[in-house]
Formats: sequence, C-alpha cells, structure tokens
Amino acid sequence: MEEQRLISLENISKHYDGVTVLDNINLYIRKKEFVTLLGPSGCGKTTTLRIIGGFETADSGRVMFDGKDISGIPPYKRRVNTVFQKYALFPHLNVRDNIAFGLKLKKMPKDEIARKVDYMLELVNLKGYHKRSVESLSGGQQQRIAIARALVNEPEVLLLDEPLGALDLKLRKEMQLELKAMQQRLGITFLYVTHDQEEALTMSDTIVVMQGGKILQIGTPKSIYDEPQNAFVANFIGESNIFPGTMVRDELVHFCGVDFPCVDSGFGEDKPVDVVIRPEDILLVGEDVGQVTGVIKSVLFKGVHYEMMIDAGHSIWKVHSTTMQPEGSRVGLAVVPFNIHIMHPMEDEKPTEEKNQ
Amino acid sequence: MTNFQVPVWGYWMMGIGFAAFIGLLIAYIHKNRGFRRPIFASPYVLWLVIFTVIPCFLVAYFSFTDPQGNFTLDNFKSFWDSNYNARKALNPDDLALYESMGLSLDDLGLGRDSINIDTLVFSLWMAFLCTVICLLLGYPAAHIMADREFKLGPTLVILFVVPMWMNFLLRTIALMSLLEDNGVVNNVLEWIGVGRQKLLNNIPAVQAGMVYNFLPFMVFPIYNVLNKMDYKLSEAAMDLGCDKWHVFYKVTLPLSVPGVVSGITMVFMPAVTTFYISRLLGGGKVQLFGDLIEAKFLSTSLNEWNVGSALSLLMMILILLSLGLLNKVDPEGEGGGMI
Amino acid sequence: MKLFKRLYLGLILFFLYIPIIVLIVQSFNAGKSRAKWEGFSFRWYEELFHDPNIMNALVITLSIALLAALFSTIIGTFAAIGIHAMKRRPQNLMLTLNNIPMTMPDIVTGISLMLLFIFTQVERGFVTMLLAHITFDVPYVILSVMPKLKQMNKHSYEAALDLGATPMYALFHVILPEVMPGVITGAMLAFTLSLDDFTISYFTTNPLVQNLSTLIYSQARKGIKPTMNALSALMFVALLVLLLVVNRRTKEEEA
Repeated sequence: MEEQRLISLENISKHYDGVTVLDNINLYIRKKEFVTLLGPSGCGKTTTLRIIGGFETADSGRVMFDGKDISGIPPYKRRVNTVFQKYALFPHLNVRDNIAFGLKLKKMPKDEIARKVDYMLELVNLKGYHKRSVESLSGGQQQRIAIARALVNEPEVLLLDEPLGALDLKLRKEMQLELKAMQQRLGITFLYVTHDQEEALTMSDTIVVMQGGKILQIGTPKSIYDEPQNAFVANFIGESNIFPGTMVRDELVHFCGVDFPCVDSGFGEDKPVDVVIRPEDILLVGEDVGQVTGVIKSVLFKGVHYEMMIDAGHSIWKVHSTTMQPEGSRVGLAVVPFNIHIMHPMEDEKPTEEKNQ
Repeated sequence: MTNFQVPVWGYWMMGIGFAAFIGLLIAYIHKNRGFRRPIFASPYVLWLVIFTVIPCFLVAYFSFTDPQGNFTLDNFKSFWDSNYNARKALNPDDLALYESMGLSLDDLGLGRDSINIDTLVFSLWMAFLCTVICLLLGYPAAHIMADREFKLGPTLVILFVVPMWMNFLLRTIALMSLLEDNGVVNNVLEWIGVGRQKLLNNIPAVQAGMVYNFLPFMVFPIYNVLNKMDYKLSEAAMDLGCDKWHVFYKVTLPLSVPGVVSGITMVFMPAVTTFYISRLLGGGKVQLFGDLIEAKFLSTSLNEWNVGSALSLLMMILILLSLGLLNKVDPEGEGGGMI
Repeated sequence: MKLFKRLYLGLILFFLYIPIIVLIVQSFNAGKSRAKWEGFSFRWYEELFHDPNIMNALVITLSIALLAALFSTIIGTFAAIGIHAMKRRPQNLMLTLNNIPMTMPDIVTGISLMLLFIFTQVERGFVTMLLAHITFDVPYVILSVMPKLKQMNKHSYEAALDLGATPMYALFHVILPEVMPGVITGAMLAFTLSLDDFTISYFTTNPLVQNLSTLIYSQARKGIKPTMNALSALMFVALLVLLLVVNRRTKEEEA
C-alpha cells in the first residue's frame, strides 16, 4: 500500500494566538480513497483541510503530495480543488462562467471549455443551467455548481469542507449518495470534512476522528463503530453506554458490581478501564437469568426501535430493542462477551468534559 | 514663512523612514513566501504615516519649540500669563529695570491681553450652551420622528441628515444674509412694527449660528437609537403598569443614553473648534478658541505658529479625551453612522 | 397633541431650512438690495459666469474634487482589501488610525497638514490642497468598501486561488467586481466631501489658489454680494443632489 500514498501529512502543528489548533498530526491518504475528517467543531479538521488546500501554512511539519513537499506552494499551483462551506460561488458570474473559471485560467480552447462545462452540468444533473445567475439557484443547486466548478479542473484530490452543512436533511441524504457515486465513477480522491457522524459512516472508506487538534482514531467506518479506541470516539460515533471498570484479568472485566467475561486481553490485571457497550447489543432477558437486573425508568419510541433507560442500582443503561417492556417492570440484562469493548480510560479529556456538562 | 529651515535631522528622518518602509515591505513579502492581500494596504499605511501620524507629531513638536527649534515651554505660558506678549516685546534689561523700580506692566500701560485661557473658557461655555440648546430642541424632535405611529418620521429624518453633510460655511452664510441689517428678518421685524434690530456681530448671533449648524448632529444619533429600540419594550412597560410619562423616563430615556452621548460629542466637538461661524456672524467681535488658533497661524510672526501649535495640541487632547469618554459609553457606536 | 408634535417638527425644520431657501430666492432677485424684491432674474447667475475669479475657483474645485476622488478611491479600495485580510490586531490598529482624520476637528487636521507642508518646505497651493483632500477622503472610501467586503463570502478569494487564479487575477476578477458598488459609493462620497470642504482647504492652500469655499469665505468677510448668493445657491443644489444620490445608493446596498 505504501506506494499508493497520495498525500501525507508529517508532524503538522499549528497554533493561533497561543492556542494549539493542530498538535502533531500524521496522516496519509491513498489514491482514490474517500477519507473523512470527523470531529466536533474546533477539533482542527477544517484547518487540516485548509493546510492541504494551501490556504494556511503549518507552523511545523510537512505536507507531501505524490512524494514532493508542497508546504510552500501557493493554492493556485496545487493539483487539488476545494468545495467550500457555503459554496463561495462568484455572484457576479453566471453558472457557466463559474464552472469555466478554472479552465479559462488554464487557457484552454473555447470549444473544449464548452464541452467540459456541458459534461459537468450533466454530471450534476443541472443540464441547461448555463446562463442562470448563481444567486437565483436553490441551496442544493448551488451546491452542485460548487462541486462541478471544482471537479471540472480534474483535481487529483477534491477537498470538501462540510459541503452539505447548509442543506436540509432529505436533500443532504440524497447528496451523500450522489457524492459517493460520483467519487466512485470519477476515481478521484475525496477528502471530506464533517461533524456529522452518520454522514461519515455512510460515505467514507476511511474515517479520521479528531478532537482537540489530535487524531484519536483512524479506521474504516465499521472498525471505528465496532472497536472505538476510547470513550470519546465511542460517544461521538453512535450511541453507547460507557462504564468505568476494572480489568480483573485477561478476558474478564468487572463493572457495575459484576464480573463480565469478554474477549479483550493485554490490559494487565486490576487496571482501570472504560467499558463500552452499544445500546443495541444489550439483550433484555428474564430477571432471573440476567447478568444485571434493573427497573425500566422510561421508554421512548424511536421508529425502528424502542429506547429504554434502565436503572440497575448504581448505573443507568441505555438499551435499544424492538420489543417493548412496560415502564416500571424489572428486567434482566445480558451482554455477550464479543459485544463488550474494553478501552484505556481517557486521562485528561474525559473528566474535564464531564465537568463542563 | 520662507526663512524656515528644515533641521538636518528632518531630512535624515524622512530618508530613514522611507527606507524602513520599503525594507518592511520586502521583509513582509519574503516572510510570507509571496504576495498576500494585506500588502494592498501598504500604500495607505505610508500615506497615513506621512499625512496623519507625522503631522500630529509635528503639532506636538512645534508646541514645545521656539522658532529656532529649541525646546521651550514658553508657548504654553501665553495661555495664562496675560503679560506674556508685553513682556516679550520689551527688552529684558528694561524689564528688569522697571521691576526694580517697582513698576508693574499694568502701570506702564502695557500688557493685559485677553489671555488665551479666557478664550478657551468662553469657547467651552458657548459650546456647552450650544449643546444644551441642541439637546433640548433635538431630543423631542428625534422622539417625535422615532414614534412608530408617525409615518412621516423616516422621510423627515432625511431632512435632518442632509444638512449634516452640507457645507457649514454655505449654511452659515445663508444665516448671515438672513440676519443682516437689511436682511429678511429685519424686514419682517419692521413690518410687524418691532423695528430694525442689530442682529449680527454679537454673541447671540454666533450662538444661533452654532445651534443652526450643529442641531442635526444631535437629532440624528438620538433618532437612530430610539428608532432601533424595540417598541415592545415600551409596550411591556405599559403592560406592567407604567403610564406614558413613566414609560418615557423609566424605559425610553435610559435606553437612549448612547444616542444622547453620541449627539453631545458630535455637537460639542465642532462647536468648540469652529472659527468661521464666529468670524462671519460675530464680525470679528466674538473670539472663540478656533479663531484664536486661526489668527495665530495667519500671523506672519513665526513664534505665533508655535503658540498656535500649542493651542491646537490642547484642543487635540481635549477632543481625544471626549472621544475616549464616548467610547466608554457607546462602545458599539450605536449612535453613529452618518449616512 | 399630534398637531402640536407636527408643529414642533415643522418649526425646527423651518429654522433649519429657511436661511437656505431665502438665500436661493434672493439669488433670483433682480435688484441689488436684499430689502426689496425687484423681480425675477438670472442676472446674478450671468454675472457669476463672467467673473474670472469665480470661474477659476470653480475649475480648481472641480479638478481637485475629481482628482481627489480618483486617487482616494484607488488608495482606499486597495487599503480596504488589505485591511480586511489582516489579522485582528493590525486590523484594529489600521481602523483606529483610519478614524483619526474623521474624528479630528477639521481645523486641527488642516493645521497639522499645514505644519507638515511648512516643515517640508513644500509651497502650499494646488498640489498640497489635493494631497490634503485625498487624506481626508480615503477614510470614507474605506468605510464604504469595507461593508461590501464583509458581506462577501469569505471564501470567494480562496475559491479563486483554488481554481488556479493568481492573487492579482483573483483581486481584479473576483474581489473587485463584487465590491464595485461600494467602490462607486465611496468615489461619489469622496467627490462630494471634497467639493464641500472649506476648513482643510483654507489651511493648505495659498491665497492665489482658491476653491469655491475659500473664495466665498474671503468675500463673505467683506459682506455678501448677490453673486455670492447665486454661487451658494448653485453649490447647495449640486451638493443636495449628490448627497441624495449617495444616500439612496447606501440605502439600496443595505437592502
């Protein structure tokens, strides 16, 4: 896989007025990959994107593109293009001139420009919109033009900075699928920034979870969902129950006053750990056979499932289930060892976060 | 004027300053590995330094030097020393002689100029009066126009805005021709039987001219604040049991303070510094601080320029202090916005 | 109560406008005396246009206003773009400095510039007056362009660079077209202010190079001649029209 690395960030750090925005970021992106930078606002994901685009320079570290250091190269000489937040279409130009902007700068012959613009408009399903003023278009249409304007330059990498953030939910879902299809068809590397975990899970080949200027975890959507490396990732991606616990020995963990068998090992003996269990992995069983018992405090209907909050004495469990138990009834809870995820506890971030809440 | 010499260090400063500017520019371009947008401001930075910053320092420089360029505080002395000019005119030896004989300058029939601090106090008093009159006339006007039920308000306020931008000199001349001995006002007065009056060349004429010129500067900021104020606030106050009068001084008045402060500054500052209003309507008989400064600079005596600079410096400090005060009370500049 | 309010406003506006109206009416008076109306005539306007002093001052006023508007618009527009792209601290410094010429009383600005010209031994005249006018015009141009820049999508410039435009190309083909309305307003404002100025011109020129304002002032000190009425009336109308146009433009841009 080594030779396919298209972009690599090496030890990138960035500070603004004494605040660390990026803290020693190391990341590489392969050709034709769909990579998503995911994290809450202020985690440094947009800054990372802007450093690759050439709009910001890192305080230290290198940006390698195809094996060459491009750290000092201005944006207009980089073979990447960007789809900006809120699109940044040029309001004084019409749709065609917006899309042709980059091609004209390359001194491409007129008929070729016309051909490419036509092709792009077709690709984004806006055939015949050439002469329209960009300000007369809807948000979704402007979005498509912004994508067309970037893609028509045939960049090696397309950078997308929360491109769907301004669209409503339904349109966003449609565009997610469309973008993914477009990426696969054109075979262009996409680097996508979002704070929406669902969007990231749907579209990406690789997700990079960031927080506080650091990369917390890199992996496929499935591995990040199933094997979060710490409580922050677990919490940010999907819903989860996180309990403080103790690793008794390999494959046995103690939390909520009970010993649970699990599949993880290598944490040492009697070491503090965080335990993550997804709400849909908890089984509701009879009171007598459950590993833990509790009383159902509340039941919410969520469409495909019920969400129940269960009070098990010293802990509250969130459980998703397709069958409903009445409020106030006692139930047993069981978790198969495979679904118990053991993580090293977060040293700094986690406690401060709790204080804030 | 012609015998003034630029000190040698003056040329050096200019040369070094320009070289430093070019150097900084190159360093900046180099540091950013190319051209960045802030560089577009550099011509203006140079312009600001030459035509705004340096002149300010020059005023200070002239204030503290004599015509030969030596440091002195003499220029400020004329401010309170009424015998300053007389003493200056005399030979120092003679002066010592008179003083040894126990004669004061008054005894000799010399001295007793009107001292500059008197003029400043008089100017401040006139400006204060003007501000009070403008506030008393302007606040109700602004309040009426900002009333939501008064549909004509937004149109009428334009009539108050336009004069703010219009040449003060022209408007003063218009007033002057109105008040002249055979002007329209006197014609009317004669017609109704009061008889012709001397309306120009006195203090009330100057005061009227100031109010006439600066009233819009009071009305507009107050109108702006009152207009932006949420009318639901006064409805809420009424809902809570205030009558109209209480609504005014419990809600409207406190909330309009930024506009009032802004208006006061915008009237007071030009009123302190004006010189042509007093010159045209006072006919040279009413001297304000601005007239004093103007006179100093129109004088051919070099020393007078230094005194004039000292006076200007005092005025600058006065203005900066009142601006600082304005920023404290109205940091958002709510009352501002001239167009 | 309502009637009283209207009456009050009416009186104040009457006070504000009656001198101007009377002045304009008198400028059409055929007789020399202000006391009597001797019939409508353009006599004073005719004399006005045959007075070489006034015509000379008119040419100076217009050329100063045009040149000052031109230069201050160029300097100011670029300055606004530069200041807009600055980081917070230098930006605040620049905006504060930019405010100085606007907040300082005209007389202080005029005198400080006069001292500058004396200090550097530049003879006061047309050029110094032009320099002074540019100095007080630029801040207003910046103030007209700045809001347009703020309205612009902050990524527009970057988008142009991203698509391969050099900074210069992006400036002329993306930023300038977008802020053009503000630039035009700024230019008109600069022109009007320059046409309007008296105090600063008064201190930065010599008695031989007069613009209309300083000419009117020097003549008015000796008493008002009817031609002065006509000249003032003309300037009033010209300024009024310009101001209303600028005002309307700003309103439209805000909308």
